[in-house]
Amino acid sequence: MNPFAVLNLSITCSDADVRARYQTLIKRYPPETQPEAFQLIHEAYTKLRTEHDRWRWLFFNQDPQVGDTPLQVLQTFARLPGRSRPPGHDAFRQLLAGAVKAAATSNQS
Amino acid sequence: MSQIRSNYSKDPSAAPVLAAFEREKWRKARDLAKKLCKKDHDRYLPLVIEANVELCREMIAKGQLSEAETVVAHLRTIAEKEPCDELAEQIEQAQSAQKPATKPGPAPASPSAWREAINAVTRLETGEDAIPASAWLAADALVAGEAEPDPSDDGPVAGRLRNELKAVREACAASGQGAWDDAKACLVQIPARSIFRHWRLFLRGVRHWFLGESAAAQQCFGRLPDGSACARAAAAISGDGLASGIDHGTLAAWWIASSDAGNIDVRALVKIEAEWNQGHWRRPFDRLTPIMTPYWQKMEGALLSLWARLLFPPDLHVDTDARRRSHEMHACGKGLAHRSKKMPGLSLAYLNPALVESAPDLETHELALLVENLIEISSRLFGKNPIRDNVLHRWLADQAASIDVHRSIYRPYYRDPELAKIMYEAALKNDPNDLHSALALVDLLGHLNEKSVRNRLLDQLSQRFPNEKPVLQRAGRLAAERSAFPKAIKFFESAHRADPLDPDIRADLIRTYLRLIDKRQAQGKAPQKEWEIVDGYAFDHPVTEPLWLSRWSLRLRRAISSPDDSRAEAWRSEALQLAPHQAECLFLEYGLRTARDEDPDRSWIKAWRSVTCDHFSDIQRLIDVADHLEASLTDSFDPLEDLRDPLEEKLKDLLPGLLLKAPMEARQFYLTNVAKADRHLFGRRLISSGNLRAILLDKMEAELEPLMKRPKNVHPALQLLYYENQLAAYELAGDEDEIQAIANLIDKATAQGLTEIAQQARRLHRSLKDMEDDDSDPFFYDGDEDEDEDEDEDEDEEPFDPSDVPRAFLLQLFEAVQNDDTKALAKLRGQAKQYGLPPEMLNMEVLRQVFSDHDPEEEAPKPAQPKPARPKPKKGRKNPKSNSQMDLPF
Repeated sequence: MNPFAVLNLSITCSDADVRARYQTLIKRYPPETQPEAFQLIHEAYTKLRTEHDRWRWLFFNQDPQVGDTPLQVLQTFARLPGRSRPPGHDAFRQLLAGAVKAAATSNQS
Repeated sequence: MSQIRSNYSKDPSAAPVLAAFEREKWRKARDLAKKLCKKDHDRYLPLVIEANVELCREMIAKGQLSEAETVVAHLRTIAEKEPCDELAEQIEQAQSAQKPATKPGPAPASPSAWREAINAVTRLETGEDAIPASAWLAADALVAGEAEPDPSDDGPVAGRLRNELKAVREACAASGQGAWDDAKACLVQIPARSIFRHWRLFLRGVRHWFLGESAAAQQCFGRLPDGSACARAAAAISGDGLASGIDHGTLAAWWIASSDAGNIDVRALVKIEAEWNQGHWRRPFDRLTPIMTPYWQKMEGALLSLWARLLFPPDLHVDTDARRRSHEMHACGKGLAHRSKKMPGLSLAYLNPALVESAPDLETHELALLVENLIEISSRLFGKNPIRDNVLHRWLADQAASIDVHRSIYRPYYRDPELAKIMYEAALKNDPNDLHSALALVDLLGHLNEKSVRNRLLDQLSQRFPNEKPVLQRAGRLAAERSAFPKAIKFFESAHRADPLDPDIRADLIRTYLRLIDKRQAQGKAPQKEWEIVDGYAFDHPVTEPLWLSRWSLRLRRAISSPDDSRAEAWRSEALQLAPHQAECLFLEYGLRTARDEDPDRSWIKAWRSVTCDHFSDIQRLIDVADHLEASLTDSFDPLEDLRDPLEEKLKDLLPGLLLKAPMEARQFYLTNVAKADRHLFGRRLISSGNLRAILLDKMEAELEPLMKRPKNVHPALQLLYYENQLAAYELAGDEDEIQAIANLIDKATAQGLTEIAQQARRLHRSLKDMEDDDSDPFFYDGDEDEDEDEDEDEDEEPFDPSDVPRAFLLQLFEAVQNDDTKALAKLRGQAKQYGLPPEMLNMEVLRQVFSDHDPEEEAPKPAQPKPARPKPKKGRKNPKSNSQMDLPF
């Protein structure tokens, strides 16, 4: 879990930025209705709360998540809280076409 | 801030424009700059151009290309040619990147798919449920536009199917745009027995997903037929899209579009992915850099953070040598920092694993070099920052002040205390409020014996942080060390107020009060008030708390120290009632009275003996008592230490018993402390004696030998000790009788609820079974083997060089033995071969012996050496004992 990515923040952000983004996100993802997203956001917030915390995470986090491929990064990004939005008719149709092709190929084999 | 903007930093009328620039509100900045232009066109025109350029870049990043073109057209009227051409080029590149993602080819009419769908509908209408998979697939192809209806088919079924298809397609189009109500209205037209019915479920899941109701979405997606087109599309939306079988280009286009990832070249990304998966690393990274450029410019956002982590294949982190890995990553990080200041996250991502993963394996001076270079790179990227430097210095100091497990067999060795001291001081210089570093430095100075500096620092800290518990606690301990008990109590009471639940502070309070009471009594005063106070802090659960801190032991102590008090007998009775074991209470009483010379006729020892038995049972009883004292071994030794002079002969039996039962950590801690203190001569002699276990077992063996002829009457713990001793002395051959005897012991221990003993006996049982199964046991000499053959083998075999064994491997080995982790040991056996270490050598019992025999004065750790082959002893005949067991200190 990359807390900067979860909160959508720059590595040069301030304490106030972190707090403001956290408050915005927990209003959008309250624990009552979105417990998983809330937990993720809260965990990210605790890792970035102070400047010490942010630098410590950048330099010494034990979960560096290295070795992801570019598409894995995109997939992770698309699944972050608040990222997904309807992409438009063409993109949706293209995905469905790709899914049909994959199913057909699998069916033939 | 750019050069143009910095020209206006002292202009008050341009301040709102600069503020808008700061907040990256380009449109607002442009409008404000335009207003200023009306006042002074020539002066403020550069600001308008700057705002337009930034606005255009943002539009390109968001994929708003036609709007960006309009801005560029406007820019051409006011700005120079060069920036306009650059932006136009970027727009062109973005347009070419978008082409494959947005232009699905027109699907031809497909009569076969249409016919299959018609047949399926006919079957459904006749009540038939078995629809072939190809029919569902044909329906999906029709919805996705991969096939079209046959225009020549105008039958009634075809008409209905056309209507349903139209409704599903419209629902899909509405869902793609987030028009959920429209999608719902379309889906209502799909009947329950339609060939498109699963699309209702899929589109409902899509709606839930984009509304943020992920659990409901997963519920819908989970009910879709496995392997169907809908299930694959659902995986791409919510789950593991890369396993869905959908081609990478489509997936990438979907994720970019659905997550507002900006203008990313899909084709390039797919190419990079393929190269990456082929095991290449450098080239994909170089290709990736231009793709990331728009994000570096903004230097923020989730995608930037994620890109920054996308660098090294995992095997580079795991398999490569720490030093090489560290140097390579560091070189890369430095190169990046030089190449572009827009890649700070990337540079840090290079350096992070180098630091975290290499720290245990690198020498401290190498770590120091790494950290200093990192500070330099970070300063170049982000400018000076004392907090960042503090974090790095503190980390380095923590590493240097950590315990070197290779050397800390009997006492703790710090890795590099001098470096740790310098780094903590540097950390404090950068951030004087760093309490962690300050306290660590206090502890370190104590270890380095720089007490005057430590005391001065602690005095400063107690003034600076008057409400911090760790500061107050340390200040209290220092005051107690200086015999300033009232001052120490004041500190401890403040710390107790800060955290009333902290048992350590309560323990400190009790200890200090007891010392104060002793002092008052020595002065001839009656410390009634102090006794009352200390009773309030006493612990009620002596099983888990230190002996001297429990309520019963304090009552007993009070009774003995105030013999003239009329309530003394009542306190003693209470102590006997409250104590978990009568023997324990009487043992303490015996100890205290002997220390006060109150037992000339040895009446107290008789009282104690009445609840214990003979010499051997005393040890057994104390071992049981020590079970409850594990957490406070040092405290349990205090009464024994008091008894040392009059009863040294007795103690030489008791102390090893207690030590044997104590956990390894406590044992080492105690021995380390007693070794330092001159008054603990007895403890020092114990240390010099070497293997404590051997001392105890050796002494017990003589008594156990006759008893073990009837093992049923012997306590399971003692049986276990006996068998372990036999194994260590190579007197167990692993035959059936011995295995059966240990199996009986396991049953007996289990029946009596002695789980720890049963577990240990099981391990012994396994070892013996292994000996029985393994004919090539290197620890027993097989007389039938040809000696000459053995000699030849020895000559051919490459000699084992301990220095070939890496420290990391030894560390893992040591930890596995300490934690008794047989699983980890099994893994290490696999690795042992490559270091020339015979895998058979990694026997838990042998390793335990090797590590316990380790010489504490050794500078560097040595790997376990295989024991020389010894002749198999004949049963019933004892081998001569080793020198270490013969040379007893007593």
